[in-house]
Amino acid sequence: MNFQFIVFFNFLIFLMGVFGIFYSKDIISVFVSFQFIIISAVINFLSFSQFLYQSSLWGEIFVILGITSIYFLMFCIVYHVHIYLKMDSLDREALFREFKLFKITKSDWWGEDNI
Amino acid sequence: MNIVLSINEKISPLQSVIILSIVILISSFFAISKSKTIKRLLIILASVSLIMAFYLNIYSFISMGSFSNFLLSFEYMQMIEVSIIIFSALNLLFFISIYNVDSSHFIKIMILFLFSTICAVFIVLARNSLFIFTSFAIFILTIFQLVTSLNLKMDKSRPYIFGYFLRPTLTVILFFFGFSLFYVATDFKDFNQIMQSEYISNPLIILGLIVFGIAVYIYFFLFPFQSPYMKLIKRSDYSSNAVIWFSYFPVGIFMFSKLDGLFSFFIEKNNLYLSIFFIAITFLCVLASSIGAFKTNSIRRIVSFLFLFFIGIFILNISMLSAGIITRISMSWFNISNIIMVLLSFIPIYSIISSIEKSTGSDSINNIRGFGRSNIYMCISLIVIFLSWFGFAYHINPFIKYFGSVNFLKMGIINMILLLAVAIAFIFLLINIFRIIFQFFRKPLTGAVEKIVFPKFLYIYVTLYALVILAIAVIGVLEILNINIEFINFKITQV
Amino acid sequence: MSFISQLIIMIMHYASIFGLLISGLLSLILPDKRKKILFLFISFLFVGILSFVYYSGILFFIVGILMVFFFISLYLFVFQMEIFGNKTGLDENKKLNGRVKNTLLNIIIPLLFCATAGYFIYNYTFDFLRSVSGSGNIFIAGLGDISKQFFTDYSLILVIIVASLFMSFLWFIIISQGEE
Repeated sequence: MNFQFIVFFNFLIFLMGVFGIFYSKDIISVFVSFQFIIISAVINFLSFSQFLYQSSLWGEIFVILGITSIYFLMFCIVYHVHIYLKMDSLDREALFREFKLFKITKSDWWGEDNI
Repeated sequence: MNIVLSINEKISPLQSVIILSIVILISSFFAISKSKTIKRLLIILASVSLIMAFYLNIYSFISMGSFSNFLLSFEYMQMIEVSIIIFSALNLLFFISIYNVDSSHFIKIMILFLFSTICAVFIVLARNSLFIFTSFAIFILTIFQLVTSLNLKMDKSRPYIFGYFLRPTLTVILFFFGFSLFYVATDFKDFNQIMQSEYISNPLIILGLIVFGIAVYIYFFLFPFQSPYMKLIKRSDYSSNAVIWFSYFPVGIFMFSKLDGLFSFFIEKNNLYLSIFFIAITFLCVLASSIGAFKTNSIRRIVSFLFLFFIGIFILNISMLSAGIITRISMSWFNISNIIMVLLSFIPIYSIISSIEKSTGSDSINNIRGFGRSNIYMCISLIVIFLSWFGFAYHINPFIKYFGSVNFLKMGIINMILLLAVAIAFIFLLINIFRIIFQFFRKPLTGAVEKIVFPKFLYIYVTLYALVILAIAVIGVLEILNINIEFINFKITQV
Repeated sequence: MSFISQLIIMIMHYASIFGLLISGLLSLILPDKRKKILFLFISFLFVGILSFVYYSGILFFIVGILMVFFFISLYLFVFQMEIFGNKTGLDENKKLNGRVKNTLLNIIIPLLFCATAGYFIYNYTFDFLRSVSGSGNIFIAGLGDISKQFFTDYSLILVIIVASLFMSFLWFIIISQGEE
């Protein structure tokens, strides 16, 4: 197996995730982009655990505990949105508008932010 | 007594964690209770446990010294950081108790809050990369759960909570990727090992550090990515804002300090482009937050911007390190003193501001017009606390020491620009301080100031802080004037 | 290991990488949310095949359970968005169609940024990665080895994760009941 190829492929997946984060216009796309960064990290851990560090299970253990923590966090966030979507139409409207993770608006720099 | 000492030795350095866990266990038996008596008893129990945890943390370090094993590391800096976390948690308990004691889920919220404190302590004590990452991810989860629980009545904040917490989620995911790059380079399991080895200059380690740096930048909502933070602070519950300011942000600073050694290896090389980069970010953060604070009439937004200003000071400290003005140890001390200054000032300021907002029903700056005329005592305390921000001027001292040893004409443009950044930051801070103080003595609007009612204990609470700040200021001035204070071994101005 | 086995593993490796890339791109580009999640799930299946290629297949089962929960919640979320949020989405789409330039900029600027970052990463790490050489030995990660290490070295981390499960249970109660 070619190490260069694996690492550069992982960086490609990572950059796909970064592109998705900037390009995403809705919440689902943001979560999809997050998954790509996680996938690239997991492949890094597993591939190099096999090829370079065979005597230790550090990579596998990191993947198990890391994935557990990250997905638990994301599950709770999605669950919270899921619960409140049933409750308030204003929340739904606020959430379904164009959603960008990195958005720049004037009210975040000066002036007032009227509710 | 011997049994207690032997138990203390065995559980070191996790005494604070175990005490808080015992309180969580006791509280969980009353989780569904709505009785006011039980709530008050549990508040007292939690307060006592936090005070005990604070004491045991310092006592265990003094009596048993440093501790280190595969997972944990407990040294002088960790002792200070854990003390700061526990001190902050004690004050957060105050905020949560004031504003959420009537909630039917108060005891469950308190349990969540104590667990978030435990996770924060674990982040500081963690040495192993996996432990650092897992405790950090669980801490973000608990803070998210706590903020959502505290905002049950605040309907308008829900979409913004979601938008806010996607950023630290991205930080956690980027950390995961950064650790994977470190793993590709070396299978060392903690940052100290990497720092002391030849792998420090490995390209994948450097890329991993860049990813960590970006993750930390996103975590702090620094300019130009401050949008979710500004929107959430404007709309959320008082205690939720306190949790974000006094738990979420300090833990981020301590997380950064874990990577400090690795970052400093490159920053200390005084690379020109790196220095320019940090100075540019410093300028952006400091100027944008100061101008933003000046241009708004919402007290919440003013305090939010000023808080970001002080977070920007951490970047100023890094800039000073990169320009060679200060050493790495000085930068660490500047960061610690900055956190302490932020906590000692923002906690009482926010306690007063939230009371004012609760009394008047809005967070407009017009509500504090004439406040100084009607409530002189609180006004003086607030002025003392605001004037404590003059301590920021101490950042000028390293420049004086540095420029004293070199020819004025050979200072270098970078150092001059950095000095200009410090001066501009200080001027804008003064403008914002005096703008608020000026409002205290303006002619009040009819009916606004009369509505402001403070609980009696708030007077004692704010007075304590004002006295502590005065004491620190007096000690600092005496040290600067080289007057020896024999009963205190620690020098505030030792940097 | 025989030549045929090595060849099969290599084919599986490159096929799953290719499949991961294609399904990933599709999930990123397609506008339909259900298809996004479908292709994302397919890409995770390819990651699972890769875990077998890297002799860590046990991880696919341990971690897969958690990911299935997450995918179910995400799919329910999409389902709910389609029921409740369609009108708002359609209106926004109409406005977006008139802003072609903005959309192009939204694609070009991130693309340029990622391409530049990719170019620098490639240049910077090319020489180092060329010099890396690995071992040809095979070590299959077993559940027994992993659980042994968990309980000897990382038991404290397991305790924290289990404690956070208990806290999350309390939080589920708070969120579900709301403020009475």
